[in-house]
Amino acid sequence: MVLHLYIDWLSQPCRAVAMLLMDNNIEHQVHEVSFMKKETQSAAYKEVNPAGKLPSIVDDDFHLGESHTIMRYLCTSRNLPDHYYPNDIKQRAKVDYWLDWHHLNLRHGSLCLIKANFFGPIKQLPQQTIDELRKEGDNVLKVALGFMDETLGKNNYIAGGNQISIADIALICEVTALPVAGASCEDYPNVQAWLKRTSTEIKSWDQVNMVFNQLLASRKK
Amino acid sequence: MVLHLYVDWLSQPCRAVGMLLMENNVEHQVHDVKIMSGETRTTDYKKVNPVGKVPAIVDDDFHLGESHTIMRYICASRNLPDHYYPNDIKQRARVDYWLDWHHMNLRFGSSRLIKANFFGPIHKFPQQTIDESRKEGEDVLKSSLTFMEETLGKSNYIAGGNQLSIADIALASEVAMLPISGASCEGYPSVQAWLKRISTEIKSWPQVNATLDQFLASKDK
Repeated sequence: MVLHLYIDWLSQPCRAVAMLLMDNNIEHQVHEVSFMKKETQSAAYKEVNPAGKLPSIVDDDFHLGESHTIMRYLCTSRNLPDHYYPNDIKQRAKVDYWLDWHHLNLRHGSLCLIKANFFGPIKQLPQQTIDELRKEGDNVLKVALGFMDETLGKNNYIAGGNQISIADIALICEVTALPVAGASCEDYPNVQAWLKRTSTEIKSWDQVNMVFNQLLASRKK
Repeated sequence: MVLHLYVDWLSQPCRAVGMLLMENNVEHQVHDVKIMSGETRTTDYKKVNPVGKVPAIVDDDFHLGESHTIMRYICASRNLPDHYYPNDIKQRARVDYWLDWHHMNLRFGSSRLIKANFFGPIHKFPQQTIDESRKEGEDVLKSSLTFMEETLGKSNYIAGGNQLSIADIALASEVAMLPISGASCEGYPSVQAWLKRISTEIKSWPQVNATLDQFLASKDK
């Protein structure tokens, strides 16, 4: 049975899962679900994922959410090349570390700024809320990018090793979304070099980022 | 070589790791690091964990942070009983799901409220910051506990299965901490029943929670 993938192309964790699937030629059927049109809140979608979040997969009736969980599951169930999620206990722990770190560091900083600078005006959030989100986002993002820059000064890939892992894929999708939040990794040369390097290594990069790139282009006008 | 564990017993993720080690008689040396006294920000501690967070372990010179990563690593490296972090691909994915979900849901809601209601007065945060943190914390905590309640209405353990996993340990540590911010799981009977079950099944629960229990008792005076 084919794997069903539920995503919004504008979502960072969705793009990460899609890249892993496409780079490994894993047969899947894409179902586009729009977060902004609140399609994730429909009764039909809640049957796919009761938490109403993206991405989700349904694999032969097995329902799964959370992008990092989905990527780990794909690596093991499809027996993907070891470098994505190594079997070596210590190397795997390093990949797990960055996946776990991501949620409340890079992801959180980025989300606070996206809420403040992108959704703030759209949803007409109170100025107090926008200010607090922006302050927290700026602080958390600065620390997160600083830590990534230090790490990537010593390693080509975020979890060490000689090839890309699912931690690189997760983090790179978030870093490329920073312009939507009005942020960037301009001041972090190692992060920029890593971004350039890993985006060329992901074969499906352009295809997966197509909708997102259109959004970025339209915002610049 | 013995495993070195760096913890603050008042920290939920620290208690989760402490319990996993003690339940399984994994030999370790505890190093008490007090967050509130600034001990995680010293140069010495940064050599243990460059991000200055607890918990951290040093296992035969291998340094690791992030409680979920540490627990996965201990399960694999010490060959712990399967139910903690199952080898079955789908059952493991269910445990991963709840570990990943935790960061931006239960953990996030709980820590927003701790920031507003506990640290707010101590650190004298601006009222605006306290109000925003409290509002966000209440919303996120409510939806998190509701989702857990639905799940635990159908299952004795958060990831399904017949025995506790590291996901139960992580989440139970957080739920047990809710009183510190004035929150609780009253109104969520399945969550309450689960907490009681987990805290009785974990033999080291009273020992690991001793510092927190004393702290809560002193707050009530």
